[in-house]
Amino acid sequence: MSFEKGDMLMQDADHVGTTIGALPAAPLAMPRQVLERPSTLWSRLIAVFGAGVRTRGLGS
Amino acid sequence: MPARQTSLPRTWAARSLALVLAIGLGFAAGALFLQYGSGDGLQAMDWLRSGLILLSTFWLAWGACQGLLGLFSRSSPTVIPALADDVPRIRGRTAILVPVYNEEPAPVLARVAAMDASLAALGLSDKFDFAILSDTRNDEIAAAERRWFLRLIAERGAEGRMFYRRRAVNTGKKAGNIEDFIERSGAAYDFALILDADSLMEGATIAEMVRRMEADPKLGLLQSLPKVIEAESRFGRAMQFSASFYSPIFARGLATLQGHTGPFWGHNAMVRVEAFAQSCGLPVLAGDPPFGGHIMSHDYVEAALLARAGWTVRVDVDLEGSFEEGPENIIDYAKRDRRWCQGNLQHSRLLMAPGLKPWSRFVFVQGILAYIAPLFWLGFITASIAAIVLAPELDYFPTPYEQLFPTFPHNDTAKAVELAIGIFGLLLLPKLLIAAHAAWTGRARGFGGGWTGLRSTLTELLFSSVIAPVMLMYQTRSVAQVMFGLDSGWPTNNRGDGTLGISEAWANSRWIALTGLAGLLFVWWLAPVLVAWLLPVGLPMLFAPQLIAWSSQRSGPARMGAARLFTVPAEIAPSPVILAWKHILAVWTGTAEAPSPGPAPEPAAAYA
Repeated sequence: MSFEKGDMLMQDADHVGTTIGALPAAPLAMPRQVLERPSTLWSRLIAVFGAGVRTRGLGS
Repeated sequence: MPARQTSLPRTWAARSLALVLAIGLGFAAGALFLQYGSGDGLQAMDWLRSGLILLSTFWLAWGACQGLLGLFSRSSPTVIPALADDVPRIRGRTAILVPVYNEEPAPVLARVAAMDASLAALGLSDKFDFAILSDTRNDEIAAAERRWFLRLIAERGAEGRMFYRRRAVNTGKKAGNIEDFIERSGAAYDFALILDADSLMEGATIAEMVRRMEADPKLGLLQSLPKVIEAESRFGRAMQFSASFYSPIFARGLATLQGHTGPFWGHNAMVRVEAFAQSCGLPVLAGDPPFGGHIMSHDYVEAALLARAGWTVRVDVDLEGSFEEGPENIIDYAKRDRRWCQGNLQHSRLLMAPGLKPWSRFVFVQGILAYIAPLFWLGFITASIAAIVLAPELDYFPTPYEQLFPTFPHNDTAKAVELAIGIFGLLLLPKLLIAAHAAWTGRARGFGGGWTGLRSTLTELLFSSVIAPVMLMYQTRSVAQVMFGLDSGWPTNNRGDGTLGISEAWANSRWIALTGLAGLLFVWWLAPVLVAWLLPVGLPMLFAPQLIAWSSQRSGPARMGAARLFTVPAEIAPSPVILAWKHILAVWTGTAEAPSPGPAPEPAAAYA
């Protein structure tokens, strides 16, 4: 199964389908962490190279 | 029992020692190969092969160092702790999270029942809630999950402390599933025990983990070392033996090296909910899978993020009573490995993530090397074949007008033999030392005694050597697929009986057999003398389908008067929670041969 393209659009919707038993309603925020530095010329070059490899590869 | 703290100087000393040793051995092997290759003059291929030998030996030596550190570091006794009067009672509330994804529901929920009974026997039911977090995509399986869950809460009287929820959309896969729970209900709990669908843990072990979390307010994540159980096939039992016999030693070495920047293996681990929520909200990486999108091997990243935020992440190998199941055949193992390969290679995007501890970055590098390093061996074999084609003709009279007698190339075969002995030593020595250590300390009794432990070790070494070329081919394919942009997706793990017929094995491995055949024929055509050297790699490839089918069959019973090969402690003296789980499952599914729960009186009473 591959990554569903619609996942990001569904993120804000109430996507709990079924519950049995009342889960405690005690929200706790999970702030998104920063893992990638802002793009630089170098990182953009790597991205372009990676895209080139992938386009020529078996996956495309 | 309070966990032994690892001091920072000790950690750095261990890291430095292991790194210097591994790098030194790598360079020594590379230099030895250059000496061997210089017999007929150094060519470019000699330099290439020397470099590949250097990298491969470094990786082997690094693994061996972990084993040796584990053997020689001070060991703490293993514990299945009982609640003594002088041990402080636990105060915090814990959610036990059981993510499921198209799993067979009855075995999963029977495990929940067994763990709940184990906690109830300690009088701790009021401190723990269970949440079954379903991401199941198949509606029929989901319906069965609901039916079995209703039976579970009815039998355990667990209304109000066991919950089931199924997401309509499985955003972020397992990491997203856990995250969804924490965002909705996390503030109600101090700790969360994250399990897999096949996880099983003793109540006393869970309680001890809570106590250790409460005793150390800086501890953000505590990982236990799960032992593989319930393996039946030849392959599965060999893996089960490895996980029980070698892994605790290697994990102790790992713990010595990692200090406060320890591992998270995704399950059988407890997190401090507040720390996890603050630090572990995973972003979606820019771009498409396999390198972009959701982070697949989320556990390594979550451990790194906790450490980045200043929390301690620790593995306590002395915690017994933690179990999981493993793949029963090579194909299922390779499928799981394909997913892990993609996840680990995706970490290349995160190597320069801001603020990570240097050791966390090194852990990412190790994860990547785990899949890249076998390719060095493949490269070495290929380069060695190419070297024959590219070798210059021998010149016995390099200075014809100045010499009367021919100049013969140096025969440095002895150096090649030394190198081979060294490499095999790095492969075999740690495991053999672990066997000797087990016999010396009496640990081997749990594995059927010293002789059976040694017999199992030698058989495992032989078996893992024979299947190594097949694994190498699967790993090579995985890396190639990821590099060419193929996404593995998130296949369901096959659990239970994994017996394969020869036709199924052939369908999944014919490309390996044909590659092996083509390789051997090519070398025979090129240089027949080399064929014999390549047989240890070529033959297992040629017979990969037979090997896969044979190793997936159920292993035979013990011979009269001898302990069964690959015996593990969980078979000789099963943990009470394992017996309770089997009993509950047998009652639920109506199978006749329900084993008695034995030493677990509480579950027996509840499910008699």
